[in-house]
Amino acid sequence: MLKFTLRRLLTGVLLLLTVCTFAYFMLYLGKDSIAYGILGETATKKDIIHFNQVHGLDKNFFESFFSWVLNAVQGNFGVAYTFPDPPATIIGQRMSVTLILVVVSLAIVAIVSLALGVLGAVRGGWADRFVQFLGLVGFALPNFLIAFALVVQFAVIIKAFNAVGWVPPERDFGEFLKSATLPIAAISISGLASLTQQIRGAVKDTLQNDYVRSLRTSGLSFKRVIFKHVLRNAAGPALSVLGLQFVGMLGGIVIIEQIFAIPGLGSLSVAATAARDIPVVMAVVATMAIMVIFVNFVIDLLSAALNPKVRLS
Amino acid sequence: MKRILATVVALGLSAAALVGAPAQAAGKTLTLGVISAVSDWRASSGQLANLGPYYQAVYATLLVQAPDGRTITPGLATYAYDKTATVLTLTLKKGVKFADGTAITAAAVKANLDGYSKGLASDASTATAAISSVTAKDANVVVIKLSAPSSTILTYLSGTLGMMENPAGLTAADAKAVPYGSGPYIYDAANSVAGSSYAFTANPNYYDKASVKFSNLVIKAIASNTAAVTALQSGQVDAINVLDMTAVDPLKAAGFGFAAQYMDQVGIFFIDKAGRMGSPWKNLKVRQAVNYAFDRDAALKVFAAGYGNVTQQDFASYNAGYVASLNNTYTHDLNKAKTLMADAGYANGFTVTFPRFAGTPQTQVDFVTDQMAQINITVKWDSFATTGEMFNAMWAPKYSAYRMTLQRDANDLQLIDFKLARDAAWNPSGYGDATSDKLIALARTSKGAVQKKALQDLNKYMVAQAWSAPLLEKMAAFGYNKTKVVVKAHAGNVLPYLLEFQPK
Repeated sequence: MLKFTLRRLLTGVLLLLTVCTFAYFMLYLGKDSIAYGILGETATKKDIIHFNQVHGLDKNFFESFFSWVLNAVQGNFGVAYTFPDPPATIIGQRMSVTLILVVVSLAIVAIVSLALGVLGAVRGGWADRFVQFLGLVGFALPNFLIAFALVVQFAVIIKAFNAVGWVPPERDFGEFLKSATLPIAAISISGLASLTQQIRGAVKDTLQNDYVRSLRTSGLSFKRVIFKHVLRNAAGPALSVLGLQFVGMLGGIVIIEQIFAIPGLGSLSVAATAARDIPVVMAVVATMAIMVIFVNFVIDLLSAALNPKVRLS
Repeated sequence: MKRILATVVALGLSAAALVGAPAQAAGKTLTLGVISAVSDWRASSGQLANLGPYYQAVYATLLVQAPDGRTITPGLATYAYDKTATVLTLTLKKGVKFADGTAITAAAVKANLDGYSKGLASDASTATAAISSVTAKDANVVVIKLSAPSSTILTYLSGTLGMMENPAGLTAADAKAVPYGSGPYIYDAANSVAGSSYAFTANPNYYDKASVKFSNLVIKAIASNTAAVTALQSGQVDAINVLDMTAVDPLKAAGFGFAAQYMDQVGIFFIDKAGRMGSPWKNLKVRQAVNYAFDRDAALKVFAAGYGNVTQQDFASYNAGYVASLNNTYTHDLNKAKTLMADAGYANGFTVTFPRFAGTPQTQVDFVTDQMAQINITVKWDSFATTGEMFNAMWAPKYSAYRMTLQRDANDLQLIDFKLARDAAWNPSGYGDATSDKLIALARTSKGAVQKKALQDLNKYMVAQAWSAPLLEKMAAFGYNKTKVVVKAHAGNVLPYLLEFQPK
């Protein structure tokens, strides 16, 4: 298990370095026009040179990237070009917002998918058809469309929730619920489809196995067989899908945060990219990459714990 | 995406109509939506356009601009010129204070103005070009010496240049993150959410409390056009700039008010009218042919989805130099355009290169290409990844003409300085002739009816000379909740000024 863990850690570090190198390179390609974009139409050549010197844009790629990596590993992402705070501070403010949205949505998706998947697989009949129909709807509707529909119904018409903005839970929990409910619902609804189908399929397949019949004939209750044995075997693929869901949600959060005007990492990435604020964009890229790598790492460990064959692979 | 948005707006509004009109205002809080979060609170980074409300909330200005965009009245200070109009004396009103209660002194004003002159990045820095020195004569009097009479210095002092930041903020390490203000409101960081919502409370030390009609202000950063519409519909903002024009009519039908503004002008600008670059634009008939060739009604649809007005003049309807009848000078007439081209010796046309920003919609590029092709002018396009690079090439000047969208200030003299005078930023070839020089000089040195006549004569002359080929003016639609606020457009600015919002 230790060897497996170390191997996964090393892969994660290499992946992080690759993602950051690629992102930095792409941003570096457009470095000549950054100063023009930020200083505006009236900037002189002298202003441009000064800006490039101050922000290290006059260095070659390797020197510039190496310097960024050295600082970044110490938690210093440099000085933002267009934001009042350092990138690390901005990430700290924004990450909590995005994490709340994604983690709560992921938890809802996991719980509801589990319930619906098991219901469809075990009950069959109308329940199964209903679950499949829900899955179809979830696959067919993109999250932004679901978000629009939710906003119109619950924010514009009955004004039960906020259409835009964000209130931190520690400031006013009631207002937090009003600001977070619709975006979390939009993310969760579109995330339910694939996991529900995965759990339904895996449970249905496992139920066909001989050992399930043996367990039942040995006198174990159906509930115990399902929750202790069947779900354990079905959990591996479901966990992989959950990991993919997390990655998908981090991508989808960009659109959701724009629609609801929420100050999270998604809207930050859009604003920073539009402003070509390299330090902030790189901080977002590194943070997002670390989050994805970390979640995949945890899921790998969980899968390995549930199924020892995974460690060998 | 637009169709989806329009459907969503229509669905929302029809349903909203069933449950009643927009919600009634509660208390005296004004909630505005703006396009993005504030990234730098320093007055030197201040602006009046899309992010104007942030800076107008926390900074008082030396002078004040009326909603007509032209009338300048005293703000923190009164003003007076000497006979040569090169010495401007500002006298601070008694008892004016910064938000922290310290007095606003002549030394503080000098420190602010010197800061701009030292080249701090700001659109105000362009205004300081005419300032040769700033002196604090005593505690309340500031003397600004100008290198030459300036037609725009008062306007700038009523805008970004006149925003007074507490000198403590000019050197403070956290000045980007915290405003050191003097304006009608104080930033309330504890009740704000960075990047999303910014809260303000009325400043007890503000010099003109009577003009502050709301005791609290909230500014919400809403970047998405869709979110802007739903924020207005749901009552989460009282007013916001609606950038998606397809939402305007449904919102109007649902009872929301709109303050329309026609600032941005789209046109073909002939730079090489002197013919120094060897282009045919020297020939008046060629310039007139382009004016006749364009179908302006079609242009309005292509460039502004039909929201705006067609125009044939560089002055806006809110300018003193505007002459309505000039819009009938070049009625679309392709045959006349072709005849003029033939008379000019260009029956077979010629080829010209225009610059374009890579992000310009292809439909707009194709439209210009097609319209010019009707009179055998072939347009080739140089694409630029950024507007900054494109502007530099245009100002070089590298191009003999270009298609461009330019703003039009309400102050006619500012408009002249911006694009018509020989030294105007958007007249990169420095073109002018004896008549234009004479009329511009007269407009700059006269007042009242004489000045108005000079401006209108200048406009008539430039239209007759086909100085450019103006096509249309785009509408900017500022939507507001009529049950809560009353507001009108501020001429020459995309948003109304903050203190122009009145409670219903």
